[in-house]
Amino acid sequence: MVAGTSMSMGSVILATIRRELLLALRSPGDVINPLMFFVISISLFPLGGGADTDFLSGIASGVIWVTALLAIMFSMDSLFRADYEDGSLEQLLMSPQPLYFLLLAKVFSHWLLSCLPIIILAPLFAEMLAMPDAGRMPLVLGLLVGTPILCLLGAIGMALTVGLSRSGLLLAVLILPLFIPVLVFGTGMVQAAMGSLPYTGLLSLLGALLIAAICLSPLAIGAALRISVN
Amino acid sequence: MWQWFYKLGSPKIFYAMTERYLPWLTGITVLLLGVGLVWGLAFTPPDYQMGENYRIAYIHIPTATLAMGCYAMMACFSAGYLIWKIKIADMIAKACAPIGATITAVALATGSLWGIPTWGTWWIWDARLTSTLIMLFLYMGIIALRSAFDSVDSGARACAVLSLVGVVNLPIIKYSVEWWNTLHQGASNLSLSDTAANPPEVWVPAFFVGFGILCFFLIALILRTRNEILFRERRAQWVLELLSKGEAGA
Repeated sequence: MVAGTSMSMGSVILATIRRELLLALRSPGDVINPLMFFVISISLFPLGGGADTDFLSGIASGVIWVTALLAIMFSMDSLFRADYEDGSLEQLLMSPQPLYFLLLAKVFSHWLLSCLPIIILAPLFAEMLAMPDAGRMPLVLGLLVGTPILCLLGAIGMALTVGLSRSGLLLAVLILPLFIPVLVFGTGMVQAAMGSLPYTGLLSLLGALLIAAICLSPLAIGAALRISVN
Repeated sequence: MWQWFYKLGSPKIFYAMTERYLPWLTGITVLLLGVGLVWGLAFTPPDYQMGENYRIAYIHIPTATLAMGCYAMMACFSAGYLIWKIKIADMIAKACAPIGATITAVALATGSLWGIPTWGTWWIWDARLTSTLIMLFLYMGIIALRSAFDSVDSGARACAVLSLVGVVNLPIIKYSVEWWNTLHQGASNLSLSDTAANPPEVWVPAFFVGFGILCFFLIALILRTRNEILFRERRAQWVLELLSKGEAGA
């Protein structure tokens, strides 16, 4: 990006997304490992808790949401870590383009890479965990609206801890409490649908959270990155 | 007024000023807590439904309110530190975290003790209980984040950002009992009339205890902040003089 100021906003966002996708293609482990974590930990529940269908259908929405949430948390490391180590994070912070949109583009490409595969696999696991058909639609819709919020919040925590050498568990302590409202609304949607109640209200709440997160969290991510990079 | 405010921003003057206020504050705390607790626990008549059990409210309500207030205060000082780089604001915010975590734990513990006789369960995943528990986790996260940084300045700024992000939880706690109708009751109405649900002999001692706990909180906060001042300014001339004076006195 030599002629930074002459580039339009749209092409900068596209360039950021293309760069992230290309990097992920070159080191696919960062994308595949969180997904494998999701798949393996979900299969642990029927093995550890018993394969009784009544029991499984009761915990299905919770298990899928919690493991998705943990997978996203573990995936956050690839969002800023490599950029921090090779110095491109500093370039990002010094770029003449608005940091707000650059960070949104970065988080969006992270969502494409780490959350979209989970959302696509979720109905399959819902079936394997004997979730009633009524729960499938709200599960996918909830994940579609909820996981971008998790990515944005997780990016705040990651930006705060990227400068620390061992940040894995600290990141969990920081961001899991912030994930709880999304988890409550997301699983609430599935529970409501399984009890033949409308779930659009909860979906709207998740949507409101998403809009608030898109508006505010890039500011917090930017502030946190400036602290970490110094 | 503003000059007084600016002066408090200097760690040295804050240290000297709080030294003068602390004995007064201690006296007021003992008075308020003494009057409020004896009145509320011994003389206020028992509740017609809950009997003597409700008296734990004299501890539960003030600590639960203060747990939220302490978080709001920490967030305000964090914002003050991020915006104006006031050093003392960060020291106060740092002192808020462990005190707030303790108060939140006390509020949760008294709440569950109250829950056993009245609700029949000490814990339930009710909206207000859960969001208060999240607040306890947030406090712990802030303490953990600060201890992870070697540089005082980076840790302070990172904690300030995290405190501000966590503010989202406060309105959720406050309005949880109105948004979700679960087991926890809403706020009680206070009235001076004799026929009201909560007559004055119930809530007036509660005010004494409430303000007493608030003063106790301020004392703890000031003491922790003073310690932090001494630690961070340990190379300043006035601290060295103070320490040598203390040694000479002892």
